[in-house]
Amino acid sequence: MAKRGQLVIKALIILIVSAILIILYPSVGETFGKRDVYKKVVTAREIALIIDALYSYPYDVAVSYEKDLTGLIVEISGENIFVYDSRFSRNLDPTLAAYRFYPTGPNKIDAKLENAKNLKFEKIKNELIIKKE
Amino acid sequence: MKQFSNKKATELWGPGSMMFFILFVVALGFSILLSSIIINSFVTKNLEIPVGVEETILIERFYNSPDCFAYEDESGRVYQKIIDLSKFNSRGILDKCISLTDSKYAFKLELVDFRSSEKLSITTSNWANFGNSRIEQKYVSVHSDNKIKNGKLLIHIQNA
Repeated sequence: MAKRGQLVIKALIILIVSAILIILYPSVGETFGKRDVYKKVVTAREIALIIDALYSYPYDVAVSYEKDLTGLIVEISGENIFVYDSRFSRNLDPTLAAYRFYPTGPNKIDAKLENAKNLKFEKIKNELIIKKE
Repeated sequence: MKQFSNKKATELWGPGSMMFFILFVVALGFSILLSSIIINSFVTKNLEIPVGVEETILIERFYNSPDCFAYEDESGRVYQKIIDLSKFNSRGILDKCISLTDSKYAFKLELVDFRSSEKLSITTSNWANFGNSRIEQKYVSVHSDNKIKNGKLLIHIQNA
């Protein structure tokens, strides 16, 4: 026979598991159903390639990236691009897309862009700026 | 057969017991993790960047970027496809040019002088001497002692 303390723990575990299932499964299903997962992966890779291409270009340049990223967060941190659902934090999105780029020199980009309609990449004197347009 | 008549163990792992629930939660967690890994791997595979595209973009910086070996004059103007010979002998510049920590690529660059056939080579810190590699060659100009000479840049690319 289970003691009172054990019953409380059991109920807690069931509650936590149910909460995870209720929150996670429908959102994962929705992401795959709406093909958002493909959009995230493609966006992460395209942005990484654009950044690499800009670092290979010797002059000042501005590039517009026209893609509706409503509902998504594009985060550039260190040498990685992360694209994830704006309803979640980065580490909690089960369909997080990430891709690596290769900066030159001491150039560091740290940007977090939420619900962007278009992105603009500007390279001025070898420094890269990414912002919402 | 004493081990099969151990009623204590049966109660411990029986349905509705604490251990059963712990196992259930662990198994459920694994199944969620596994299914998301499998699905994500299919998605990632379907959306692979075509072979060679990323490398082509990366190697252009070696002769176009002032952070790499491109010649930059006193006024700060950068010359595409002109390599500054004074920069080419420093691995420090190559490491500054492309950050390759935990990278899937490693590079070895060889600059060949057309007249003297002299060859200068430089490698990234993650280059493995005995690994397989493929070569891209680019015709470039070389700036040295205020003179421009013709040369060839051989770029060896290795999957690190």
